[in-house]
Amino acid sequence: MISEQNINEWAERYFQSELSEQEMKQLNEALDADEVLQFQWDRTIEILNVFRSGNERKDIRNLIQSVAANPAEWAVDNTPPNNQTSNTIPFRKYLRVTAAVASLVLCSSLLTYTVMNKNSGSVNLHQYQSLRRDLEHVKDSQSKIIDSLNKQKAKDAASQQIDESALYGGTGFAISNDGYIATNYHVVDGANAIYIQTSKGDKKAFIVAREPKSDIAILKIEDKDFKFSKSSLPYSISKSASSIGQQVFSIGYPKDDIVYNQGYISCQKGYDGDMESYQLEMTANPGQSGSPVFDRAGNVIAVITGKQSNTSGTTYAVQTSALINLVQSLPKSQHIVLQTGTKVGKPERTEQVNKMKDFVFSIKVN
Amino acid sequence: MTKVFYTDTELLEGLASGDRNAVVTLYKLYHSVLTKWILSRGGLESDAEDVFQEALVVIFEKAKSPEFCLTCKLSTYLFAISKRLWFKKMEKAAPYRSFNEESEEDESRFGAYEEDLDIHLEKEEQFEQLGKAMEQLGEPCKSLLHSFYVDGKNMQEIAVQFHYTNAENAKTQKYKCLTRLKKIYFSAGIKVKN
Repeated sequence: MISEQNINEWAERYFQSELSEQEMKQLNEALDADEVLQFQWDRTIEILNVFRSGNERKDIRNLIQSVAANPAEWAVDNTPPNNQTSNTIPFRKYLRVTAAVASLVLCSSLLTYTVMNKNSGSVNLHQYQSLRRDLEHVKDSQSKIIDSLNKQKAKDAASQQIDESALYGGTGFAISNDGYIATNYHVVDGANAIYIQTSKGDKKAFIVAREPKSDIAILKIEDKDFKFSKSSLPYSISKSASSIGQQVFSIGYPKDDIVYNQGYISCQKGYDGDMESYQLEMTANPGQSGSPVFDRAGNVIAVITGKQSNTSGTTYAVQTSALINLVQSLPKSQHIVLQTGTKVGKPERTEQVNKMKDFVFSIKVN
Repeated sequence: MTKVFYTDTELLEGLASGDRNAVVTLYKLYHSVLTKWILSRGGLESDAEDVFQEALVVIFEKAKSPEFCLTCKLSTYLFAISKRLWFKKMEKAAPYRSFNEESEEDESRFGAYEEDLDIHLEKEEQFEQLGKAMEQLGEPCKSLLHSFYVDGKNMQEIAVQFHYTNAENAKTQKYKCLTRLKKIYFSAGIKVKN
């Protein structure tokens, strides 16, 4: 029965489009019959409307302000395109020569290709594989359970949308307390929307800086008042290179829960002699791209980027010097203060990880 | 990020769905022109920023409404709204001066936009009213309603946070609070629509 006592509940369910056809009919009849009820109904709906549009307005303001705060993204390039003086070569005059040279190049390149192909047959096995995670098949079971629990949740529709369209996942970690996060470039490459799963719920983020060459990107949470914690970060970003044999550990999100791994630096150069990376002897799975690699004292020394496809133990991680370079290349207006001096020190590993895990996040991208 | 070119409709849809790229594109296309215009009227860059952001919010809300259909170019609409916002701002700052330099030529076109802007401002008033009502409501109702309607937490979380024995209890309490909020909100003399 619909009465003044439960009119709020009905209004709210109507508002979330949860009423069945039959219930709608019942509702309409009740409202038509009772003027007072109709009056209360209108008022409840209005309040709910104000709440909803107020939230929407707050969200869009946040978004607009975060764009406004980051002019590098949209500032119009005022330098006119330099007019190239056309130095055209009279084509007809050199037609014969061109044809001869072209055919020679074609032949030699074909030859090189076949020779190289023969040689590289064995090399092909050791391929580099980046570790971002394909989410489409993982998402189902988990999100279904959660959705059924949260049926009445106002943001249900929105979060479901996120889940359904999330295509890739990775890991990221906080680099300063005011909402900056580091991850791999390939995790967020071509992203339409980026969501960070924090302890305070899913937060939308955007790319502040990127460096495809070293595969690093810096994200910022859109909400400008966002802080990861009341105090500062429990780890610092190491400036110096670590030596071979250093014991390391990492935490990341190869699945929806946080996973711990440990190992050691097995080579100071990464894949194909990459000077900016380490080779680690440590297992890593898809989804761990962007995970921080810590040394024993709990300093971040590298960021996991990929692994060798034919083994499970060889992992590559880009050194934090590349991250520091990227941070320093940012304009003054968005200067990120990196933390120096570790806070974790050398307590038990479990304690270290417990403190750090609130600063390492799962990233969903679509 | 990969897409460079957007049509007006795509931009509006993007804005309505909170797509960051759409906002970035709008900034790219129109921000500098509007800033120049406002600077030429003796405004500051910060004024221009305020006006531009507010105009985007107006358009966002228009784009959200299902019956919305743009009858002119997006740029025309954006600038009309921006100009109107700017004049409003100036009127507030110096209420005795009139800004009718170009009102004659624009009056007919502004007519329609004026309405959109009024709706926008009316809504703003409603938010303020609601905020005040929430303040008057006091604890724990204020926090409870805020958690549910603004933070979007579900009833289980709220039950834990506010130490209710179960979600059902929390729900009952929430509806009681809502009823009280309604009373305060509507008794404060704000006009009820229609």
